[in-house]
Amino acid sequence: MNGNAAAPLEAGGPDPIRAPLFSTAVEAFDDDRRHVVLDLGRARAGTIALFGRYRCRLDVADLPARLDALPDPEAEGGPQALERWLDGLLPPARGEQVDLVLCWNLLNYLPPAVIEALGRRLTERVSPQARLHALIEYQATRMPARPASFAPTGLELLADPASGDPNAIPAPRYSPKELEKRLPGFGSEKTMLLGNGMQEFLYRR
Amino acid sequence: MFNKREQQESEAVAGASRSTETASAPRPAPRSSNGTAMIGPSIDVDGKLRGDEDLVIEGKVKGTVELKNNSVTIGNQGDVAADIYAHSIYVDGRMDGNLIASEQVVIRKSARVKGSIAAPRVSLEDGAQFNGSIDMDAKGETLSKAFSGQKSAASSAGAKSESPHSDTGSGKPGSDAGKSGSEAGKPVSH
Repeated sequence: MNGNAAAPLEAGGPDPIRAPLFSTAVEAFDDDRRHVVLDLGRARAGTIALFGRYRCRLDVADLPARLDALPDPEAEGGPQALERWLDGLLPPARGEQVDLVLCWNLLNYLPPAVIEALGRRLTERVSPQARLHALIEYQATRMPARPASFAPTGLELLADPASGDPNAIPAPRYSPKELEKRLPGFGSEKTMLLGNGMQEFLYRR
Repeated sequence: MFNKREQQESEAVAGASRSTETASAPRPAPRSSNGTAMIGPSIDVDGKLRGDEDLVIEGKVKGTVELKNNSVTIGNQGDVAADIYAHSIYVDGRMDGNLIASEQVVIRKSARVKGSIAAPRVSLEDGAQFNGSIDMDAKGETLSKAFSGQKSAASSAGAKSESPHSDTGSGKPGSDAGKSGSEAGKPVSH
């Protein structure tokens, strides 16, 4: 496997990534309880197919589609603009709390102030035992300018590189401690370095 | 074929304008060759659509669409801001609102959807844009409310009696729907 996991993959297609912590998070759905999942990424067939097997509501935020409109939180009026950006991003809660947040290959595309604001919003709408599962680029020093999206294939995750911008940008390589600090209300349950150089995080409320 | 399509669309326009003149007079719905009612690209509907036949939307629809025993297709040119209640719903075009289906919702890759979906089976092709909620819980409140008493509604198909539907959440695009209406499969242009 290529050491720079976030780089566009060659023809023939990417291999699925084994993500043990994602399996752990989904195993918790093996009861007859209704669950709410918030996927911050793009809507993907694999995600819908997987969670369609459970009594589930799947909320899709499609954060990558709104990255171009991400306001600068340091600019004048930036914090208010950021709150409006988040309002447009998150689907209505509809009186239910979120049990699992999926955040695959997205946090590394957000500045720390935006992660903090997003974390505050998530804390408001998750259940007391909620989990947040994240994948971030960790080993590579550079990453594609537009985030590849991930989708489950079974309990493995498959990357789908974004098209349109072949440029690479520096990867912030947030550490588990740094992310924990930026996501108030969530504590790190476990982290794993995956075979493709990405870091898998499982946080619990 | 081209001429046939043109003729169908002109019939739809004519039907729409006539309906404002004699709203109570029964008349056939605009149909495509396979017997499915069609709202053509030049048609703009604002109100409530109800009936007992399949519908393809290629125009603009705002309000509520209730075809609980039939399928609704939002074609590539379709632009819908409405709540749709149907047996099956297929989306190729633009949709902003709630999609509630007793059987399935299919979002194709050309679709741009914002809103909520409730159906026992939902499929989405990669490439489709979606922002909102997908409720696939067959025991969920939205589905059971929306299709409660459907058997009796189906058995009296053709009666076109009013049946209350569930409130599926705040900000419903169709919350003002019902102020103006049309008979089964007969779009009304305002």
